[in-house]
Amino acid sequence: MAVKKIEKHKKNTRIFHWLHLITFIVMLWTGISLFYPWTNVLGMTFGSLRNAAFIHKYLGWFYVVLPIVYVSWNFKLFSNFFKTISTFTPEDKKWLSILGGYLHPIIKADEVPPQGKYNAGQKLLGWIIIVFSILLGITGLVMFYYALFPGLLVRTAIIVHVFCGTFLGAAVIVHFYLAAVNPTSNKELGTMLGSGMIEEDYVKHHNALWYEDLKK
Amino acid sequence: MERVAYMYDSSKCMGCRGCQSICKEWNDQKTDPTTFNGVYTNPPSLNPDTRMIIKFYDTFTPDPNFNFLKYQCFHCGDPACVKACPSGALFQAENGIVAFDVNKCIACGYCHSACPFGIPQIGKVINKCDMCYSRVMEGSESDKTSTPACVKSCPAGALTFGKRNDLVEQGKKKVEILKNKGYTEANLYGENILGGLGVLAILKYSPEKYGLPKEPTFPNDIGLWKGILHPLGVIMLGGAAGFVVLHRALNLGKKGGDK
Repeated sequence: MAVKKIEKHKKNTRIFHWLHLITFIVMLWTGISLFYPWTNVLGMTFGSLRNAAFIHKYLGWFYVVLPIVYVSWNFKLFSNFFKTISTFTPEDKKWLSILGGYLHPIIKADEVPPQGKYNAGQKLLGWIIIVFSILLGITGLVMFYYALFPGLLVRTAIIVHVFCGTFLGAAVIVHFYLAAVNPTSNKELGTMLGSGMIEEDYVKHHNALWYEDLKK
Repeated sequence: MERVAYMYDSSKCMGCRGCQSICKEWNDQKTDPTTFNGVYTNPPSLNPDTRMIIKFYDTFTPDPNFNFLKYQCFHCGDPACVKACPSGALFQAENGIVAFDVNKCIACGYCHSACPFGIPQIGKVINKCDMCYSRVMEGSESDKTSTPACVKSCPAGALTFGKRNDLVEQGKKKVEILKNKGYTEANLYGENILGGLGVLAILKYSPEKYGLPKEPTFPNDIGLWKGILHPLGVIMLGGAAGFVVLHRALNLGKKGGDK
């Protein structure tokens, strides 16, 4: 029997996610090389630390422009997404207090409250990515045009930039793990990176509120 | 090793810019045409092809009167640029010269922002005065000296190269002479600031008039970068990686909301 599937991510979103993912990995890879030059092997991926810096600086422009293009092109998709991640319901609070059951049995979670299209953790990640990416973009621009700004501002920008970069890197490691490796949630990977479709049973279980909405 | 330095005496300088020309010559730097915009300082500021300039001032006295400042890297005893440099391109030699290895430079510009004077200029790579590091260390084959090119070239005797301690003594004496002559603001710039500058300047007027900070301080926030954010980054990235590995190894999150 064919498994019934629901479209979770639209095509444009999936293309954007692919481009953003590749850009982000290169930016993180070169960024870590520059922040920790002793991780020379990372810099050597691009021939030398100077090449890594060059790529980091100029690919940074793409990293800034890409989301702007996506959001303006698919404003409706984005505003829906933004509306979703902006509403934190009491269920979301409960979800966060038990971390969605992902740490069971360390954090006991016998009942996980039903979630919408994105669970509270994903909403939080959405916020982290948006806020930290904007900060990275702004501070990155200051660092790119360092000669136009006072030294103290540039040095502050560097500090904010590396903090946001490493924090976002850490958040994305967890994001990748939950979407790709963790056995109870690794179906998400194929959805975002592949066809955009996800099994109905999975939705019923993971995104019960969204499923009810779809039924209406 | 004892610190070397050179001293610039603004009361002797006549603004011929021989030092500026020889700096270009010796360091093989490109020269671009500039346009006159009312000030004799030319080029108007340091740039990636210009390591030093003579600055011209004509507003210090009511009478028409030129004053000069030789402006380039001051070779701090406590160089912020070296501390900020992430790739190890900038270094401070044992004799106090702050020099650089262009092959290691990644053109990030952190040195420019760290420098209390904003001196290092970055084109494709860093460029700044290195006190003719190779001349000082190895000597020049052609003219049998081991002084920086600018010092060698100065026809007015406004530049002296030598051991820093000797120059400080010499400079203080000269300041006294200037004060007796009526230059009440005369001072020796760079005696104690930023760990003691490796380029001392005898100024006839107060440093601010020349556009120099009177009491520049070492930007301590640079320490934050390597001292706190380096380990913090390792903790965050390593912590996340460790966390997910542990999560898998302990097989957490099986019960509760998920099957």
